[in-house]
Amino acid sequence: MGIQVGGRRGGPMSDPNVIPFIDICLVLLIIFMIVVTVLIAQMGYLSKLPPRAQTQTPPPASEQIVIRVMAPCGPGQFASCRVFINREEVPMGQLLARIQQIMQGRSTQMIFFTADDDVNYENAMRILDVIRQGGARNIGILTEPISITASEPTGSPATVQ
Amino acid sequence: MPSVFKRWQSEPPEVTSDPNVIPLIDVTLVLLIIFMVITPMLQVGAAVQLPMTNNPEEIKREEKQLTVSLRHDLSVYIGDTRYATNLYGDMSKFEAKMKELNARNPGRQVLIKADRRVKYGDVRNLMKYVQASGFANVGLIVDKSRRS
Repeated sequence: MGIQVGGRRGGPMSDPNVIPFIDICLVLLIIFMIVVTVLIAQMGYLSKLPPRAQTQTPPPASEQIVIRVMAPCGPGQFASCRVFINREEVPMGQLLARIQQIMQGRSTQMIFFTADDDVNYENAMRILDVIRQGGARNIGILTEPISITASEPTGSPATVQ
Repeated sequence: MPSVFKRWQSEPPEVTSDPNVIPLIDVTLVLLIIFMVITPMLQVGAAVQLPMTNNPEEIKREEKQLTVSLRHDLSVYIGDTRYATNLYGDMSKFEAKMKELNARNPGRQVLIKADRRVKYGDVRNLMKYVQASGFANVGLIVDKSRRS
């Protein structure tokens, strides 16, 4: 593989061997090209912040769907998070199926999402991921903490696996 | 005449079998430098550890997007500039800037890049500020999980 420019019969070789240099440059170039394409893709969840007046009194109409994530839901404790759809606690394993059932035929309906303050952000995003996977395209985020009195954790039996 | 050709002419039986790779190196190095310069410029907002989820949707990059970052130490950034050292501290600079941006160009999409280690309450409080400034469309930026 050696390059033998000008090196005839033991004469001095004046040109440096640039082949390994080109190899390294090309590999670096390919690495940068891949990194750029990975970085260009920006992933996330598009959602709406409903105007102030609505959020202070979340309408408890039957049409309205509010999904609420409750503590304990610290970092890395995704399995212990408790999710409520309106006032009913849904085990984590059934959440996707329930949302798919709700969203059937009305994919444009807005689903409201909220979580307790102590819930880890990543866990909240993972539940938002399940909601999106279930077919919800209009996700509204409630910025005021809401209290659904019937769903207080003290009264209801723990159904989280 | 360049001396390179003179040498070939003086020794006709000698054949150079190696291609001239110098232009290839030039082009490769220039491309490498271009990519090296572009890569850091693609990162918008402060450096945060984004949450990882399984199948987020792709949010198209647009000129009008506004990136608000919340770091692990609760400092708040608009674009690459820090506007508050603590979310629960003095937020007047952030609020003023957001109001100004909304007045100049309402209806912009706000992308929220929050660190995965913060609590949801912190992000909720940040979104309250965003909402109070008049923005309604937000995108919560996450990273696609490579586990599955």
